[in-house]
Amino acid sequence: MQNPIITGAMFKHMLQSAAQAMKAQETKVNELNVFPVPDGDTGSNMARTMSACALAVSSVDGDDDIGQVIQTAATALLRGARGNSGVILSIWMRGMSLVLKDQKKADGIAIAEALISGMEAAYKAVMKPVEGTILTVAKDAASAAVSQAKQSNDAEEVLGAAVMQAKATLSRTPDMLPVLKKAGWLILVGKGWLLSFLLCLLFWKAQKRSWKRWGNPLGLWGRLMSRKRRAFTLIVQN
Amino acid sequence: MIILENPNGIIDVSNEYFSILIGNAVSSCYGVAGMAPGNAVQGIAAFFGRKKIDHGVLVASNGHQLAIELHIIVMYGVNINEIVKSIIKKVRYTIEEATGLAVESVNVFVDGMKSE
Repeated sequence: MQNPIITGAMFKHMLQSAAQAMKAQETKVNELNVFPVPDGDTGSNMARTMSACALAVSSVDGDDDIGQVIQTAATALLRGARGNSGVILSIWMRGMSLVLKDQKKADGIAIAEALISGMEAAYKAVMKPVEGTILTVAKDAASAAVSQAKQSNDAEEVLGAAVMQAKATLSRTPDMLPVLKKAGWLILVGKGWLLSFLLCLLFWKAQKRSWKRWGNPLGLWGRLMSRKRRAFTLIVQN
Repeated sequence: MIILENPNGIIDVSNEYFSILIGNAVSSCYGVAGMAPGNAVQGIAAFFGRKKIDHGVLVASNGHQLAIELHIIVMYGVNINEIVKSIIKKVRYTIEEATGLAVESVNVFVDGMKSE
């Protein structure tokens, strides 16, 4: 039991670390952006949104007041929200701030209640919630936090349980949302192409044949891909 | 309606199709808590409790291009500017993906707000 309670200073550092992590993963998240519009800006939007939040909370003086930090964060996220994902982050944080705004410190139960409130706010903000998106991940994470809080009122353990459940739910989202599964196929096929090219290169080197017999690795890969092109087309169309 | 010509004939797509398509797209946009009536007909229908999926969506076309009007109700505590940008992006993408048509204009009217 290392951190049974989260203080304002700790929460401030958590938000700043999250902003740095978002910035570091910006390009990777942009590449994963396929829903609702595959415009490849989710990573950038979330990074900019969280940066605005981190900048705002850095000037907050209430080291022991988590309520003040989270209210500042919610206001900053509202103003600095960018794109669909930024709006969702702002709604979620606002929901959490409704629970924590009058508190000085947050224990496990308070964190779990805040996650539930954030999730409910996010679901209320859309007429038809789509499962398989961040809403599903937030819902399952909040449920796991509540279950953990009933066993132990340790804020770190509650957050840990929420994160673990979020990872598990994230891995199941392609089964909930067809467009993710299709994108997953494309990513796998892309990886498959790369792997097949590397195998061709290794095969060519291993056989130590002359260029006249097998052709260069690029030609060998091209002949292999021409046979697989029809299979790829069928996968993409479906 | 929109008329698409091809060597085999014409494809006539009604405005109602676009209304329902857009209504479905907007209903899953974040920050949109509901749709407000766009004209008197929709207002009267809403009064009698008959709200269809295309409530709040008005589509006009000149045969080749679409002009869309959306009347939305937003949730309290959201960035309206960003919500509207996302809605417009999604509406354009939905129509282009379904029919290949480019939308001439998407006008969004924020007609109300819903508190918690």
